[in-house]
Amino acid sequence: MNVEGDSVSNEPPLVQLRGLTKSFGAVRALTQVDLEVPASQVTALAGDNGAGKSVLIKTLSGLWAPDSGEILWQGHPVHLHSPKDAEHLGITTIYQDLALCDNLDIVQNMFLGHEPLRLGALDEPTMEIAARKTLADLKVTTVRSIRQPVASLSGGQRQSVAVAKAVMSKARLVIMDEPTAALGVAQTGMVLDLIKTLSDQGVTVLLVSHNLNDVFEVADRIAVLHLGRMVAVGPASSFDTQVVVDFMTTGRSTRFSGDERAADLQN
Amino acid sequence: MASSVIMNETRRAKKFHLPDEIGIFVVLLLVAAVFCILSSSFRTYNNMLSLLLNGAVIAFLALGQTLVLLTGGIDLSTGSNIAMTGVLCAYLMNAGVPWIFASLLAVGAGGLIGLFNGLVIQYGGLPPFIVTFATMGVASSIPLIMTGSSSIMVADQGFSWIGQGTVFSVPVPVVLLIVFAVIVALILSWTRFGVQVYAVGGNRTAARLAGVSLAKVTVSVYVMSGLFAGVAGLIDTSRLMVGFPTAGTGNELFFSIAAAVVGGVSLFGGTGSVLGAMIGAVMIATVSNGLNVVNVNSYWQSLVIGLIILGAVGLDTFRRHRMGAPLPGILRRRVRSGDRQSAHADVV
Ligand SMILES: Nc1ncnc2c1ncn2[C@@H]1O[C@H](COP(=O)(O)OP(=O)(O)OP(=O)(O)O)[C@@H](O)[C@H]1O
Ligand SMILES: [Mg+2]
Repeated sequence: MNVEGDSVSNEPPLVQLRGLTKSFGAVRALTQVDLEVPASQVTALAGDNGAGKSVLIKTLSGLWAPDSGEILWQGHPVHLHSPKDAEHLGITTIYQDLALCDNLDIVQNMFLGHEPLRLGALDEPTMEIAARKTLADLKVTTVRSIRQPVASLSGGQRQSVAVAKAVMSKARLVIMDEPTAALGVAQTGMVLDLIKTLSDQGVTVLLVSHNLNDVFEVADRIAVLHLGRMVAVGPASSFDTQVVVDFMTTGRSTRFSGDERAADLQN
Repeated sequence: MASSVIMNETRRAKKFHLPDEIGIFVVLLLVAAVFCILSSSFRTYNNMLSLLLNGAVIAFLALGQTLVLLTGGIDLSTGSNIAMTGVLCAYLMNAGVPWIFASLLAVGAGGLIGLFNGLVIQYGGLPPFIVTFATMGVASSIPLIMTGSSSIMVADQGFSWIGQGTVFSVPVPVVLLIVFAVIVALILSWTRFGVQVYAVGGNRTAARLAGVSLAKVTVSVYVMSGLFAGVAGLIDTSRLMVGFPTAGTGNELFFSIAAAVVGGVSLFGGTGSVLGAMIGAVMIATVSNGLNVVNVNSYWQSLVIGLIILGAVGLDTFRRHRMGAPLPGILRRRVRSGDRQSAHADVV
C-alpha cells in the first residue's frame, strides 16, 4: 500500500510484459499485451469471461510459452519454459482448488516439495516452528492446529495456507486466480486482509478477480483486459467501478484519467 | 454461528487424533476371541503358526499394495507375480544357481514387472487398473510357459530357510515381514518420498505444482509392489520346496487388497498406513484360517471376505465424506442437511 498515483521510481518494475501474444489455433487469446507489475504493490487484473486473464497468468507462471513478445523480470528478459523456471525466479501461482492436498496437514502442505531434512529424515520441529511463524506473520490466527488436515479447513483458511506456502517458498510475486470466488463475505474479508498483509511485507501480488469490490479494496493498480487486449492500466485511484465495467464490457470508457490503451492505438 | 463452527472443528480434530488402526485392532481381537471360543484347535500353537505364515504372504502383497493404493493406483498383478517369481527361483536353483542369488534374481524379476507397470502407467497415461490387469495375465503365463505347467521341485535345502527357518524361534517369513513393514512405515512417515506418496494420492495436480515428481513416485511404488510380490513368491515356494506355476492365482490378490482396505487404506488414494494394512492382513488371515478350523466349507471364505471388503469400503466412503469429500448416490441426500453445511458456513 505504498503508492501515490502512478509513482515511477527509478528501479524497474518487478515484471514487465512487452507485446505478449498467444494464440490457440484460430483463437487469439492475447494480442500485443503490455503490462508492468511494480514491486510490492497489488495489481489487479480485471476482464470479462474469456478476456484472457487465465492465459496471461499461465504464461507468467511458465505453463505456456507466448507466441511472441517478452517477459522482463527486474528489467531482464526471461524465458519461462516450465513452472519450475517461474518458481526459481520467485513467481508462485495459487490456482483455486489446485493448491493443496486435502489429506495432508497444514505443515505438510506448506512444505510439500521443499521439506527441510535432518539426517535424511523430515525435520518436523523446524517445519512446525517455521509454519507457525509464517502464519503469525500473515496474521492468520483462526487455525486451531497446524497439524490438522487441510480438508477440515474453511475456504478462507485454505487460501491462507496456500498463501503461506507461497511465502514459505520465498515468493517475490504471488499470482492469485479468483481467490475469493467461492467464499462468503467474512472469508473474503479474511483473504483480502491477507493480500494487504502480503504486500505490506514487500511481496508483489497479481490478483485476478471478477469482483470489483475486492479489486477496489486491495488493488494499488488496475489493469483491464478486453478480448485479449490490454485496454487500460493505471493506479486504482484513476478508476471507479463504472469505468472498469465500461472497459471490461466495451473495451473503452469516456471518463478515464489513466493510461488508456485503445486497441487501435496498438500494433 | 462462529461458535458452532469452532465446535464442529474441535469435534473433527478429535476424530483425527484417534488413530484409525485402534478400531480395526479391536475388531481383530474380537474376531480372534470368537474363533478361540468356537474351536479348541484354533488356539493351538501350530494353528497360530500356520495362520501367521499364510498371513505373511498376504501381508507382503498388502504391503506393496498399500504403497500403490496410497498414490491412488492399484496393482492387480501381484498375485500372479508370486507364481512367476516362485517358479523362476526354483528354475534358477535347478540350473545350479546358488539359492541366495536365485532368490535375489527372482525378487528382481518381480521388481521388473513393477517397473513395467509403473512406466506404462506414468508415460503411457493408461489407467493402473488396465495396465496391471494386463500384466496379471502376462505374469501368470510366464511360469506356465517356462515349465509346461508342471511344478518344479527344489533340491537346494538351504532355500528352505526362507519359508521354514526361524530366528529366535520366530518364523523367518514373519521376521522378514516385520523388517520390511517397519522400513516402509518409516519411509512413509519420515521421508520426503513418504509425504509425496500421500500427496500424489491426495491431489495429483497440487503435488505436481508443488514440485513433486509424479513419475518418480508412481514408478517407485509399483516397483516396490513388484519386489514385495517377489518376496512373497519366495516364501510360497520355500514352504513346500516346490515352484507351482499356478501359485498365487487363487485368493492371494483378493485377500491382499482386502487386507489393505480393511486396515483403513483408501481405494481412493491418500489415506491409510502400513500398520493398518498389517493388522488388516492378520485379520484376513484370521478369518480365513478361523473359518477353516471351525469347519465352514471353504467355498464360503471369499463370500465372507467380500462382505468384509464391502463393509470396509463403505466405512471409508463415509469417513471421506466427513472430511469434506462428496458422498455418492442416495447417502448424499440423507446426510447432507446435517453437519456438512455448518462446516462450510461463512465464518472463519
Ligand atoms: N488451452 C486452450 N486451448 C484453446 N483455447 C483456449 C485455451 N485456454 C484459453 N483459451 C481461449 O483463450 C481465451 C481466453 O481465455 P481465458 O481462460 O484466459 O479467459 P479468462 O479471462 O480467464 O476468463 P474467465 O473469467 O472465464 O476465467 C478464450 O477465448 C478461451 O477460449
Ligand atoms: Mg480464467
